[in-house]
Amino acid sequence: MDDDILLKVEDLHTYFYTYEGVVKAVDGVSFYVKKGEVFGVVGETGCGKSVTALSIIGLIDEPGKIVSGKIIFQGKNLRELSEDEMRKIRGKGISMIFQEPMTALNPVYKIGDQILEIILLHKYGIEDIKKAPKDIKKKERKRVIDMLRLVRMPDPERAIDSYPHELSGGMRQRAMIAMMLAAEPSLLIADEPTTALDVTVQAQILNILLDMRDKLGISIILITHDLSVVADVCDRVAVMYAGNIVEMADVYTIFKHPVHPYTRGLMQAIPSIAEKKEELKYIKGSVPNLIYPPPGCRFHPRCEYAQDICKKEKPKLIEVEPGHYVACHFAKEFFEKEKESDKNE
Amino acid sequence: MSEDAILQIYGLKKYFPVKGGFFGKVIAHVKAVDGVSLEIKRGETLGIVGESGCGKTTLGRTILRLIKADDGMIFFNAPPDVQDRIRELVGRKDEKSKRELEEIRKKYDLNRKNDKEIRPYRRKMQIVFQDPQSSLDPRMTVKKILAEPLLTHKIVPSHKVESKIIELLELVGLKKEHLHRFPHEFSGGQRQRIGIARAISLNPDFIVLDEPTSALDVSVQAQILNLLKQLQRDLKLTYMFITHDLSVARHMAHRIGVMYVGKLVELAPAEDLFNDPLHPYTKLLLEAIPIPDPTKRKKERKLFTGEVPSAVNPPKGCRFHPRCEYFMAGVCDKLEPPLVEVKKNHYVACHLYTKG
Amino acid sequence: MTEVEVTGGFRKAHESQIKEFKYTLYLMRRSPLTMTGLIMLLFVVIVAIFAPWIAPYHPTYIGGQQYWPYDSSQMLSPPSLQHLFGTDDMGHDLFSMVVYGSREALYIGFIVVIVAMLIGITLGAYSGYVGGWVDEAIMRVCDMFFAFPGLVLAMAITAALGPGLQNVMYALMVVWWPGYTRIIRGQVLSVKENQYIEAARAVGLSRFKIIWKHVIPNSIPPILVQATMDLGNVILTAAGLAFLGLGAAAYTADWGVMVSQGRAWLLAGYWWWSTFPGLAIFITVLAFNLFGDGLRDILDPRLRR
Repeated sequence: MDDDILLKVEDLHTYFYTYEGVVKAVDGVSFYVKKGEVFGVVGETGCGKSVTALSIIGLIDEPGKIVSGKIIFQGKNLRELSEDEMRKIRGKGISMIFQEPMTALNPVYKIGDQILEIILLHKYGIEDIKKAPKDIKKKERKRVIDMLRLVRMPDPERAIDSYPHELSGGMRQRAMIAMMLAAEPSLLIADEPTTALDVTVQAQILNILLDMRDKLGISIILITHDLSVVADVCDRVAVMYAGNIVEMADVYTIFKHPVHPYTRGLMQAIPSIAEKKEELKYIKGSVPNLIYPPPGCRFHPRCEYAQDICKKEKPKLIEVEPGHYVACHFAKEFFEKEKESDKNE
Repeated sequence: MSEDAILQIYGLKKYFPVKGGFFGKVIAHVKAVDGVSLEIKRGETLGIVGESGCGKTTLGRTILRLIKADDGMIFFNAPPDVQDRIRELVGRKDEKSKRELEEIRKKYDLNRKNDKEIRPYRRKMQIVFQDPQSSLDPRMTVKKILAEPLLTHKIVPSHKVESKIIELLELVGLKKEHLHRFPHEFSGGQRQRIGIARAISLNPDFIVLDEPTSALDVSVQAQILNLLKQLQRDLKLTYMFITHDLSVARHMAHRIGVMYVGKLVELAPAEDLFNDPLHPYTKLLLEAIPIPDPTKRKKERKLFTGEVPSAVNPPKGCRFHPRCEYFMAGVCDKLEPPLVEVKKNHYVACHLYTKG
Repeated sequence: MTEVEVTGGFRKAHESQIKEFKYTLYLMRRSPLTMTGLIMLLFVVIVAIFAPWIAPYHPTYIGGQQYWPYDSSQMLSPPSLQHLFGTDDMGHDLFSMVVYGSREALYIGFIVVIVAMLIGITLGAYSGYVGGWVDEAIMRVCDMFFAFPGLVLAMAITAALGPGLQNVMYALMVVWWPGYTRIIRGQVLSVKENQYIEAARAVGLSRFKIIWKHVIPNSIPPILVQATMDLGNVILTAAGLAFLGLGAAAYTADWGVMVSQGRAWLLAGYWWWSTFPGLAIFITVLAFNLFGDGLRDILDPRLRR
């Protein structure tokens, strides 16, 4: 079972030290990602999902700091590696794509050269593209075109010589995926990769990501605020709230038996395309300030089931059924109730 | 049909010039809105959906005259008998009808009014913006932001402004403690509530909601959508709800119009549109939306191809033809399909339905 | 219902502003260079305000006395306890002159920058917001001014008007306003794109009110930085003009004039005459630049939120 695990995050704490105080953006997060799976991390603004991703890939900058925890990737604790070793992991081991591809692509270089640069660096250790021998460049150019074809870039022979601004949003996102896959990583972190895109393009990009998983066998951590996207493509999913994971399970389980009140609230708040609801259920209030997070369970001020214990003790992540973890004092009761109502239906 | 229409729009066009070359000559036009006609009934919510660049935002702005349309008519709040007369006159070509229509336009067409004349209408038509971050002046407190429209239109005497503002805040679910705060001290949802308070402060009849929840989290989105519905009921508002999110449109709208590259391609009652979409583009959109239920995953993932074409050089004929799976050579790439009523109240612009 | 009744006092009503101000102070404290600039600046300002109490003599007193006959032993004397910065060839106490000179320097700086800013804000805001031929006309005039090097233009104008402090100031205003116009215009172009401007239009505000209530207040912060740095630059340029003989008359308490007059004596070993006013210019300009630089970081919205 453990051979199956590519990445394991244990009790990760990442804080930001700001003028107003310490922002506990990620406060005790543990999860694992299996080989070849799409792992969804879902949550609202400020829940710590992006910070978790940046912590894994080692891109937390001042005033942020990983305070404690382990990030074990392919058997190595990434937190113990030097910056040099980390750089080698980045790209070849773990890659990341962002919401806005324009910020990740360099506007003054052609798409093809940017992808080529990564291939040269990781395959030959050549840092300067200008110093690369001609024959290697020629050979790898073919590979770049193949990469672009793989991400279904229309007309890859032309795209390779285009500058980022000449491409549409969807094409840029493809180019970035091609670039990030050029180094053949075993884990791809996609941070809201389709949020800025139209639905029809979003569907294309999600298809490509699934394709990559099937063809290259990589694992993907998909970070999103959109439960529908999770339902559509993920295998397992973690729901984050205010720096904690509140529920984690495989995707069928969590959509069938959501246990945590927050997960349930989120699911009820989405307007459905399938049926018209007169009034949407919603979660009262808004996401708490992470400098002074509520004591105990961080969700308790917004939770309709909150009891005294919720205000005092922080609930631990417990397993209510195999592979289904919930951080709630009443997890067991809610779980039984869910099962019960399921039987009645 | 002589239902009371708060707005009647005919052949609305807005082309943005693209400047280029050495002397900044106009070299092309972005055809953002290219001949849109529709009516909005009093008290309803008309949803306008489409992908980025389809012109839905420009449509909203042009109706409010925040952008001046290049061509077309916008009749706002015309009396019912005039509305009927307009409907009769619009298609006619004879001189007498044209002259009569011209008389009506002088009186009711917003597109014929200059900036000064339009100002009184601002009271009656308002807008809520997408980005609550940039739609509030960062240097003004909530009190100043909300006092501005009240004082400009002298809605209440100046000594009552503060109590009116507090009343507005309570109406949108904020408190009077918020009066002296700056926009950046609020969460996104609260900021959007301030934006809504500003829009309703003038007691308008009609509000354009331009993606009011697309910058918000789902749990907050639900709060805002509910608030908007409640305000519509209590204040008898008419909405034009612009969104890219079909599920939100379904939740909010009575009727929905689908736009594609500056054109209205389908217009139907909401239920009808979802149960029986007619235009291939609408079908594609519905297909592409992920459903929040993993058991309903599509077994075979459809290969979606193509992107929305540029509105500078839209495809000839039907603008959707390069992506359409029902493409008929010689027809779709030559002729522009008109918007016709194929079922009761269900309009579609597609050659599949015009041929017979 | 008055404001106080509703909200309970000034502190409460202005809670947000107070918080903002405290945060600004915090950011300032965190940057040692900004603090250095600020302290130097305060020093110069205090010297200027309290010049009559700080300076041991009036700047026109010669050898410590107001009238003839002068004591020749007091002429060109090196720095000493009696004359901290020494004296000039007529026996003026240089320390007193440098102290009084700060008043003149700051006076020139502030007046010129404020007038240039007012012109720049008005023209720039209309140019950017209205656009069209108004914009075209204003910007082409600015271009014409930018075509000349600032100092040369200022020299030409002063020479045409005739030397003297007033004329130097007019010349500097003429040279400086196009810069502000251009910055404000650029700023307005970006502020204009914000939705709150559109919201103000949707509410029915007139163009005039939109410009003055929304556009200008939101366009000002970046020019505050520029203005701070310009205070230094204006003082430096004014001193340059004085050095060339276009400023105040000889033996006035003006740093530029003093450097200019002392220069002839520099190689003869009377180093103090030029050096001390020169240092004063250096410190003042440096203070404004350091502070302006820091201000840029502090006012940067990306750093703030």
